[in-house]
Amino acid sequence: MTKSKKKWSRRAFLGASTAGIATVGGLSLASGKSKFVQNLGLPTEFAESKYTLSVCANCVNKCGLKVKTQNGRVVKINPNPHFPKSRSMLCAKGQAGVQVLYDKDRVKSPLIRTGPRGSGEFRKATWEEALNYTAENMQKIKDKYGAGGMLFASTEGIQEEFFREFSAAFGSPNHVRHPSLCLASGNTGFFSVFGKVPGFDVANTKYMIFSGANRLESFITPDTIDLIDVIKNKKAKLIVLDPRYTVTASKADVWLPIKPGTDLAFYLALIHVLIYEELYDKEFVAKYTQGLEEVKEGVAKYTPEWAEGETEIPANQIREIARELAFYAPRAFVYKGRRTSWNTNDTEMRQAMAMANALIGNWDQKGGIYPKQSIRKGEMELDVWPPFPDQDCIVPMEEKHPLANAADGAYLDFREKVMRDDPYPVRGYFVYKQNPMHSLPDRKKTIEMLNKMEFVAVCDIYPTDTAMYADVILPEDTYLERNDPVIGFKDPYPFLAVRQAAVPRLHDTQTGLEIFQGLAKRLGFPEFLDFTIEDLVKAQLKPFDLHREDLLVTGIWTNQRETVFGKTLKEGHRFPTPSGKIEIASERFRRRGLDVVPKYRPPEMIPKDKLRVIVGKNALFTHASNQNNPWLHELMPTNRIWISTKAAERRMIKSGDWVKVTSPVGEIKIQAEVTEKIRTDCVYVPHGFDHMSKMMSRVYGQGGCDSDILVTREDKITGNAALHETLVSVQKLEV
Amino acid sequence: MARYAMVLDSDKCLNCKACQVACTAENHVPVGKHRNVLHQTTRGVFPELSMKTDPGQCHHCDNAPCVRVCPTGASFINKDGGGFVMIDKEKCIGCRYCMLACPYDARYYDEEVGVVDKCTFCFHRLAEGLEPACVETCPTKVRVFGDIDNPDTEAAKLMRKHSTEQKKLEAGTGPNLYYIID
Amino acid sequence: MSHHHEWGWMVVVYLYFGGLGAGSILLSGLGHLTKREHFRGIARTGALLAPVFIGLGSGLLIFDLGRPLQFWRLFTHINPASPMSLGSWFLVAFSIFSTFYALTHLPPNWARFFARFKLFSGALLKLADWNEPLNEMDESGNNVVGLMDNPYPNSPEWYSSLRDILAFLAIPLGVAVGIYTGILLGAIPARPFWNTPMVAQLFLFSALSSSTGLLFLLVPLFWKGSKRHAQKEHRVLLTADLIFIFVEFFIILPFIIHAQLSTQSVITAMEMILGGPYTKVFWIGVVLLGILIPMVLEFSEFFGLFKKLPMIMSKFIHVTVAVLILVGGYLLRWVFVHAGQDTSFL
Repeated sequence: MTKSKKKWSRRAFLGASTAGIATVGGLSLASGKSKFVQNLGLPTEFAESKYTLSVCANCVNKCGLKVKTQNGRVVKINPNPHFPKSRSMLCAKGQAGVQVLYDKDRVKSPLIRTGPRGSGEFRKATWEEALNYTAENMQKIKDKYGAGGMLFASTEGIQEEFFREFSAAFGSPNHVRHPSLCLASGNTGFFSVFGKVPGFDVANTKYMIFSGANRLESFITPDTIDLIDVIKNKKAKLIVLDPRYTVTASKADVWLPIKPGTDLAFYLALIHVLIYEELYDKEFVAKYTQGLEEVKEGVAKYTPEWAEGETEIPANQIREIARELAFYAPRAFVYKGRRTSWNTNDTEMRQAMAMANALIGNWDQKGGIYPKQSIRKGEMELDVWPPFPDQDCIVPMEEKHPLANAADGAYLDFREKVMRDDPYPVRGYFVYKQNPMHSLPDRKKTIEMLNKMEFVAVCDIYPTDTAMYADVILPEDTYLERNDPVIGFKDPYPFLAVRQAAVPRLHDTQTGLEIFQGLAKRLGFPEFLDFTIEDLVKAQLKPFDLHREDLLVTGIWTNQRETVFGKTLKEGHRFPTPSGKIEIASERFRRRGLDVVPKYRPPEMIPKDKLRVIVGKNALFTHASNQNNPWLHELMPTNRIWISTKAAERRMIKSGDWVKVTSPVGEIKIQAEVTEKIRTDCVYVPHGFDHMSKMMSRVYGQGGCDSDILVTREDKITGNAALHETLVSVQKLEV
Repeated sequence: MARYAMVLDSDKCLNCKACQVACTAENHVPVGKHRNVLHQTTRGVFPELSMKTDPGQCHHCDNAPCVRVCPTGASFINKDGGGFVMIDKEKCIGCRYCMLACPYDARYYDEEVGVVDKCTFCFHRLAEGLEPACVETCPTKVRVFGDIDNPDTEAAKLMRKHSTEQKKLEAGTGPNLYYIID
Repeated sequence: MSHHHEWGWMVVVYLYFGGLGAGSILLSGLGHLTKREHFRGIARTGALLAPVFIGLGSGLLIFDLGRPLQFWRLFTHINPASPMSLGSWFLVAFSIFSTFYALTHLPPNWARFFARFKLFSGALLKLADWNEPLNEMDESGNNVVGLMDNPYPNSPEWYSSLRDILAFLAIPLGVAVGIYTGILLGAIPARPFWNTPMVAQLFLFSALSSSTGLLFLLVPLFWKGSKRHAQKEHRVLLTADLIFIFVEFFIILPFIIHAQLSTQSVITAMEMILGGPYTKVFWIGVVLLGILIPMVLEFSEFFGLFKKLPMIMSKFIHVTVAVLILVGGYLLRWVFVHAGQDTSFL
């Protein structure tokens, strides 16, 4: 027990915990006030609180915030109850945002590498020096290898568009984003049928089928709120297919521990039953869709009995689910889910999900799926055109992944091509708001790619593993220190919000725009980013006759207060597909030589002594970014590999034992968690641990990194990283 | 006479830990200590499984054993102000007897300052018209806080509508956390 | 349940020292009141040790506080429902009491030694004279006195009476302190290992037994008596400890049996010493080493089974028994403080 009595901090502690009490009458508690308050030894003058309305940036949800500051210091972040999307909730990550700002491990100034690449040895530099250094090196790459010699990589964020404008102005054709490490397959799957990626009306539905999509555990979103509401109030039934007993599975009406990699079989059988038992919505299908006959033929052999052999789900259960789905339609759906692919046929699986939705006629209806609407913001009028790159993108997206979003790229293809200098060398790498060291499978390969580079620049707020391999780290302001452009939201109805700085910047950091402007100036194309954020905000709000302050009354603005259904079901509406209809048999697929009815291929057979690795997340962390946050780290300081009781027994493993997990590409040492909550043929590794960066002081070396053992596989249609294709052996480590 | 209590629907709890981080942020709880906890239990054998998470914190007992054993009067019940069990940190000498007396293990020792601390139902937020941090932030609104002697509060309504249980009643503490069981 | 225990070694030592202080003063009081010459060593040693142990224990306790300099707040408030509140008041009173009582037994050469420092030298010299014990030995070093009329012939009447009264009070006060250390733990329903009816008695008799062992080891340092003195004194300590240790053992046994028939909380709590992490320390350390082996050795000695042994073996056994008792006493408190914190009301 430490005996250090810091008198001043005790005062501060007593003061800080109670400061901000307004002398409000009203509550009978407050009227215990002066005597009550005095008895607690509280100071009688309280620090004044100020609230700033803003938007969280810890994950893609962007929940609404009321940031509380006292004496210029952020003391608490509360949810903004006026926010239609997040509706007065703020998850653990959002609450831990205070520590994002004050974390001692943050990158506090530009850093330039002094030791060998990856050593973590950096020295401080001024912005002048760092930007000069970066621009010089980027120019060197451009001169030597062409603009395409720089690979630009980024993840979504409100200032990401500036990075993309910057990379376009630089002239490089090589820009890769996160969707091929994220939801590309789901998007393409649904896009192929509906021409649009829909939203899911969880709040009003009666029946849902989820494959994975662990909304109640891995990712707290408004769907989480609605999901609990409809389940707990018995308004809807939830079926969950997951090899693991997740929190979502535990709240579901039915949990099916499906064999990993066989979900496509389930959905093909589902479609089979819908069609052959004539449960599909005949009227809807006739009116709005095309391709039924072709699909009917295509799924003829995919019976529930056949599917039972693949999925280990009983055939009657598959039939029953199909019947229930049709019964509750149109207030029923098969949920798309979100994250990276599991297997190389992921897009086909999501396509089958979309086909099932189309068959039950739930499109654009309450309780079903619907096209999200947005508010069209204004745009900046900049009379500049980025140069047409004189090199081809090293990954020919049109050829290889024509149905993926070409602008997003296919990350694993990029890495592969870079490593082979195919078709030309890429020796520069600029990473914005991304940690490829963890997000890409097979960390060894990523290190190899980084080591091949002649110049690496990383723009981030933390000294991540990727930043460790950089030549220069350019630190961005955190979201609590930034005024960002206007954000457009689509859920549950379109609205606008804006991010406000709650405090002036703490350290020698800059906003993304400022950084890219500084570089653009030095590289000779300042005109592309020649505006301020305020200019942009003004332009964005112009169509509505609004100013930034107008959004700060409640934090949002909208011209539409509810989700409107049915607009696309009106006479004469043309769906954004080649045929103009919902395509149960996708024309786009046909035109690219892909199967319009997915042909099922079983997943790789697992040899007796091996196990399949599945990965996942939890509500504390966003990918591999914030495991080092002290308030989140204390709740999960390390990860353990989940292994079933039977599989553990066979290997004489008990909970807490250290085990060696070996895959074709690497091995990790990690502690085991023996549990009943997973199938005997797989193991589960929580994502985002064992950081190599010593500067991430709390999480350095903690646990096992899934990326170290995952093999490089991708969904064949979109190039989306397929992360459940790795087979490992697990052995107890003798101490 | 106001009597503040909390009604919890553990069935809706996701173990997402938002309430824990919100509390730590709101009350400057030292890293490594917690004013509220989440206890997840799993039952059964694959694939017949069930899982539940029970949130917990100081129960602000009517008959608080921590108050009973405090030798300096630092722990007391604010009888006129809603029945909160409070700690006057000026009076606390850090003997930690109260920590041992609590059957819910709700208290923690703040090493830096040398006193014991615990959940205060965020009384400082109530004065601002805000709910306790854990109540406000919860995505699924597991906790409902209010004066259960006032029939119009949401908490009182829930108590009328549902059967509730209290933890460790036999310890004779008279706790004020009510867990919905139907 | 290996979590951090808020009460650690300082509390264990405090409870142990409290018990030793209580037992010492009680045995001292008894020894003095018998007016027997051969119990004067016990009387003096117990009297001198008590305030030292109470003082050290209380010092540790204050140091263990989160805010030690604020300990005075214990004395601006009294909470009759809190054993700690009452206990701290009582401990202060007892500290003062035992200090005064110790002064009445202060060895004269000690008093003369302190008189050299000029502070209170007059009073100290007087005290030295008043505390001059009756010379009881003849030329051959044999005791000639058994029952004494006046153990301290130079004491004024009032001072003698005071000494006798304090000795008399030492007995119930010693019992009270011995019991209090048990009640401090026993009053907590949240810790079912503690919250049992026998914990106060157990601590009392353990304290008495430990103090007996302590006195056995230390009396020769404080009183140079004749051989007969030593023999008689040893005999009475042996007998006393036999009684205490028997009672202690037969408090523990029913304690455990009864606990098995109690509520689930208690049954689960008892598992700590019935198969749980404290089993070995308890049964080997506390029971075997601290009670049973001393009991057997003391029994044997009581019935003269060691009469034939050479002096040195005899002495060795005596010292071993005392040390075992002392170690056992410490381990008892260690087990209780820690096992208790590993149990919870179910």
